[in-house]
Amino acid sequence: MLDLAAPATAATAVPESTSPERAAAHILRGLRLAVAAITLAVLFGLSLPMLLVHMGVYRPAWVQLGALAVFVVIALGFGALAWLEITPGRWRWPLAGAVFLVSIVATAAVPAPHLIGQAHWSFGPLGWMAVLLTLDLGARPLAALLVTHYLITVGQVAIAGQTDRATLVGMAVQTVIVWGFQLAVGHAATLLRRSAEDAARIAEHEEKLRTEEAVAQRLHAEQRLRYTALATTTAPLLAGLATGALNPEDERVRRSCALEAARMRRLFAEGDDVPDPLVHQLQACIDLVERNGITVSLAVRGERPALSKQVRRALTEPVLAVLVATTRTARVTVAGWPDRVSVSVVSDCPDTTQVTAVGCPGLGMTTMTDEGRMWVEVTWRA
Amino acid sequence: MSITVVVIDDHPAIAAGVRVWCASANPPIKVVSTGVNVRAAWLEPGSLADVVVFDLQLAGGTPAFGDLRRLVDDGRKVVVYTMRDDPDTALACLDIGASGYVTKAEGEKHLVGAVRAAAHDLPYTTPALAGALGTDSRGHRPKLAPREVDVLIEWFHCESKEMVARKLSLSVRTVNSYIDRVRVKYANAGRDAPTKAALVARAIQDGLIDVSDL
Repeated sequence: MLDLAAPATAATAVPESTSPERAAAHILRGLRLAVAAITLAVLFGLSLPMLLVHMGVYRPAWVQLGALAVFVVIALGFGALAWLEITPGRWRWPLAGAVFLVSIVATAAVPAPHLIGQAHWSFGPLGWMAVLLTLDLGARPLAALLVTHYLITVGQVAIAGQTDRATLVGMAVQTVIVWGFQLAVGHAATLLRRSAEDAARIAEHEEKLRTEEAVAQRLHAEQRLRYTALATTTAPLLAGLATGALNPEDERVRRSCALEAARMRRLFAEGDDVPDPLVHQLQACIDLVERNGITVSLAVRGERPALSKQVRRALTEPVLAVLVATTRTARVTVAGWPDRVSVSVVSDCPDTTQVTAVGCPGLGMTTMTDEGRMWVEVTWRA
Repeated sequence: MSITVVVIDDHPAIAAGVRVWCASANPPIKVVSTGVNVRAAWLEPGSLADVVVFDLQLAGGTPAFGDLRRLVDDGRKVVVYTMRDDPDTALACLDIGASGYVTKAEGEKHLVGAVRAAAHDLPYTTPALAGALGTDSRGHRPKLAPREVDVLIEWFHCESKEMVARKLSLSVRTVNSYIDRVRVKYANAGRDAPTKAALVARAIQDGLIDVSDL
């Protein structure tokens, strides 16, 4: 039963939800950029000089330059993706395949005695390429790629027939050194992502709690407001009847009871979701008095603007007072224009009937009695 | 010579009630024929009646605007007498050329007056119709003065020209002339019909409205 006319507080507005995955991607951005930078630094600072120094060794040499170019392009591409906070999708696996292929070709172009030495520049950077490819997935896929790479290289070394102890020991040492860095970065990314997701989830949960609390507060305020609306009029009447201070046989007391009943009926109708709340509320009150054998006709003309609850109350209150005092018949009419609404009641109620206007901006009321009839008209202007 | 009426209504009690009101009017109005459908208005003696009192919704069906149009185009003065209290139907009937529009809730107070006015090509506006005219927001509505709208709406609200006059500090006569002028403006708008032309001509002749006001 929220009053839609009242300004909504910020707390009741649904917060813009940020998924934990998005928050994690945001936090991982820095790390992804750093890994792209490390990879480029390795490629240009270590691999390129080694490659240039051993140009004469390779069979053929252009394969190495091509392989380096492919690695550089991929590293730049991942840097751009990290910058734009785009997570690599399914196409990372075909790309990983392409990277391995390039590495196999580059390794094959290194002749036998130079494998796992300075001339074999592509052995180290491939690990960094693997880190780039799997940074958002965690350490396990990274480890799988690294082990695959290791096994492929062992195979290639065996095929080349360079299975001397020095090569195998050198390979093991290099692998341990390089993997140490690379797996550490991959694991750090996993930890970072987990804590980011947790943080985002907690924030989301807290936001939900805050929203629920705000809605509950609002509902409570509405209920209190409604109770206040009745407390000033209904509660004293009930108290008076209970203590015996008011006599139910007194005509005025009975009329007050009827008026309070009509007010409560209108209050219940206030929250209903109907296309025409003003006429709906009037109809609710008319139904109530018609049960007492009074004939009420209702005629509605013209189109009305949407009215706030306050305006509707102000427009209907005098009509209620007249209706409950009606002896036999009454006529209720509603006329509307885009900027103005008038509600009127003509009734055979006693001309002593108390009708008071409710204070509301733009509201005017006129009362006239003529030949045993009372005419009350309430007009609201926007 | 007294005014003659044919009553088209599918409910015998309504026809009987109209007959009683007409007979007790002063001077009396003669109901020459009654019928459950529009044929009674086209066959003698109904075809000779001055005014047709016409139930718009015979047998609970859709509004018989076609029958109304044929009667009006033949120059018949038709007072629509209906259960329907919606402004759109009332405005549609006026546009077709009905001489009067009275809802059944208003019948006792207004039907005889509406029949008499129709017989003499005079405007007659009931409170329900005044409400429809005063809140009409259609694009092609005639232009009304603010005071005319005020009078229409107060008449709609209180159903008493004396109270309207008191409230707006006018004479009852002025209130009447405001209401009638609006009705003539509506007769002058929209579709052409002999009954509408006759109403406008009579209003100009009586000095109720000036040609320049239309």
